[in-house]
Amino acid sequence: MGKMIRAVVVPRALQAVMVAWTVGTLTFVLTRALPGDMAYRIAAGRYGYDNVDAAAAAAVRQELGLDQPPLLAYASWLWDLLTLNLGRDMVSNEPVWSEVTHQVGHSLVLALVAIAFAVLLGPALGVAAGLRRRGALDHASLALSTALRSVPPFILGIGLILVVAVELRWLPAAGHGGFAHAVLPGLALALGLAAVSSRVTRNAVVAVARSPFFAFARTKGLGEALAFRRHGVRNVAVPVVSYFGVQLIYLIEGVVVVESLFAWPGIGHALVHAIVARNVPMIQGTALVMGLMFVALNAVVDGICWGLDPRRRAS
Amino acid sequence: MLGVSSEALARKDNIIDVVCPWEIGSTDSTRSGHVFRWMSISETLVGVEPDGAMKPLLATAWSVDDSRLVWRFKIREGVTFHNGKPLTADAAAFSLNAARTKPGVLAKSPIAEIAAEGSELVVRLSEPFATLPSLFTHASAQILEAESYDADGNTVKVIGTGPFAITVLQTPQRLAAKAYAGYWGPKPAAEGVTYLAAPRSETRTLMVQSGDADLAFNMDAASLKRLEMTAPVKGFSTPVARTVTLKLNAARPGLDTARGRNAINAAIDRQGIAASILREPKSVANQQFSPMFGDWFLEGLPQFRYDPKFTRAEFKAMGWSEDADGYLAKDGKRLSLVLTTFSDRPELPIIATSIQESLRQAGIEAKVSVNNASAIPAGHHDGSLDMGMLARNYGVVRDPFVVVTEDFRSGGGDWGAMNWGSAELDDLIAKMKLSDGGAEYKALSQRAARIIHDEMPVIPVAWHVQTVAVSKDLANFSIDPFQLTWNLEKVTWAK
Repeated sequence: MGKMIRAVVVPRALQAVMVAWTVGTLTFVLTRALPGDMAYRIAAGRYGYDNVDAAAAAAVRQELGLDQPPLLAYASWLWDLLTLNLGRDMVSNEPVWSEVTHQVGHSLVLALVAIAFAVLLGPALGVAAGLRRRGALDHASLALSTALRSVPPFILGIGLILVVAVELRWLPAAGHGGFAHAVLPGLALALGLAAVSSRVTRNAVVAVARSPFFAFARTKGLGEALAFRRHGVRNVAVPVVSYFGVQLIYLIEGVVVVESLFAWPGIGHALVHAIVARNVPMIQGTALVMGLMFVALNAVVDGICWGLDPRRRAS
Repeated sequence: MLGVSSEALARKDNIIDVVCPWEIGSTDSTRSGHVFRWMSISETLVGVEPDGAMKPLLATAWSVDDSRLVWRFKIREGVTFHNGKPLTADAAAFSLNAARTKPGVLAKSPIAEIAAEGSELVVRLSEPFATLPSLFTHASAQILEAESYDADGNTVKVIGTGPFAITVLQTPQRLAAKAYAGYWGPKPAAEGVTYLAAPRSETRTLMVQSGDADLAFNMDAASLKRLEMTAPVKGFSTPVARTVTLKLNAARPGLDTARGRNAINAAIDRQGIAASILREPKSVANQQFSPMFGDWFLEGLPQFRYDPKFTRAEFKAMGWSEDADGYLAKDGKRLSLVLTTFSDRPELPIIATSIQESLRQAGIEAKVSVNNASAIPAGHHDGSLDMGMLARNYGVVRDPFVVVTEDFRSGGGDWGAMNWGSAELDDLIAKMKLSDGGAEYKALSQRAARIIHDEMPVIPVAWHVQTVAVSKDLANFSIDPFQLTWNLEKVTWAK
């Protein structure tokens, strides 16, 4: 356990600190570099465009201290970050922390539903295809996964709504409030993940099935199922789990469009709106949490691989 | 677990599900009060009839004294807030005073003091202001209970007096409300209402098709026609108090005379925009204010001519000539203007692009710049704006007077004229502040509308039409043209 903490947890924790600082500084610099007057943008977000005028912008500028020198603003932001104070949303005046936790909660639900669907669909299909290499199922799964991965989640989402919500009326088309609302957006994300993970699994299974140790296991008299369970699964799992780690980026970028299509109040949706409204504390808060989520998920993947693969523990 | 989606799947759940593009930015009535008014959660002192006349709502009557500086509003008796507390003049004054400290129409008005005297709300003004009651129709003037505010006067909850009381509020996207048993008016037929902000029109269309939404707002004309064929839905379109306008910087060469601005006006193909972009023949504007603004609407005006050749000829007559590329130029400088617009209203960039092409035919180089809405007031103030395309709500408070004062007084306003002024119009505005209404007010507003029409500091392009897809399960849906309320309490179920 102590070894794992040294090998996995400590490097990832250091990485988290670096990510927090880099993401924060970059968003700070980039939002300041964007064209347009921040006070006007924030006033437009707050009061709606019918009510933005010079007076509203001036009030915003004064209230938020937007005319303080950038270096001073940066220093005070850095101090707030060290004291874990993310500030207040410039548009709604709610604390950023409470808004981000509300949204991260929704996004995590969506991501978990997506991963659960992807884990159920992808690897199972991959194992079946890999064990019967070049069989009908192998060819069909190749075609299907190519098709699914090449369609963006947004289009997949519209297709799912049309079939499941509009034609069959099994599930609500969009919105949030119950588990049923999470199924379609979760599936829209999961299909793309499952498409590639099924191929990664299939290739890993093929490699294992052709390996000398697997041939030896069969030669010494183990049945195919038992040989696969004893000598296959763990070997197949390592690349598949690492692959899911890499694909989290797909999940996070997919969340942004899928959330907006399904009117799901997640962090991706919030980030887009915060950028439009030049809502700097929200941009920093959401980007920070997304960056840290990334580090945390990678740490979990590392941990799982550590547990699965004795070679890592030995080295 | 899949059966949980009661609000989405069971058709006859007696709940009206609304889907809109507009988010609920905040609980604050000066920021998002319109949503709570639309959904019949909160109410104002004064309401508006469909024809634009003011009607009693939480105030049963009002009057002004001879000095025209003191207004008295009689507060309705027997009204309770959703937390059970009674509506009093004190409560109303507290709520209005909280709203007055934030940017909005109340802050801009000449209100000096709002106080309660017995069962009356007394408003003292710093100068006469004949249209004061219309200010109290605005969503930012909605009356909320004192418990809605924190110690700093920020709204933290929405405790109104309307027929529906909030049960769930998840900013920025969702709210649910149930019928309030203690409501003072007729009981609504619906047991509750829900609101979902879905920014993508694809989502709204699909939600109507799947039966998840009963009312879907801001449907583009083409989707609405298709929906009527494929889903149990009726299209509903009603002219609203918004005008799509082209704001001109009257300090730019070519835009600095009424003749030049009218020449540019002739290059705008309103019939084409109405037919192929807005798909609504009623949207063709022949003046700034649509017929719903009775006092301000000029009867008997013809449609504007569309004739880019005329535009070119007019500029030539004013001393402009064509350069090598066929564009109009004067003193070696081409007539080249940036047309700034924004995409909050999806039709604006499309209309702007069509105008860019019409102007090109007339010899004027226009470059469309799709920006954030705030680029227009910001450009107004730093003087960098050439032309701005926007959708101006002249009915913010029923009578366009407040907006006209802001937009067309000398020097112009953030969303109105720019570097333009008319001494006569300033004079009319001063007189209208003192007017008691009636025929005198009408004569003054007609003259004001005429000046704006002839001088053309802002070009009216189209009158806005609100489109809604309405489920055939609903009956008696209506929307007031001022978009203050959607009258959900009057909606019943179709047999």
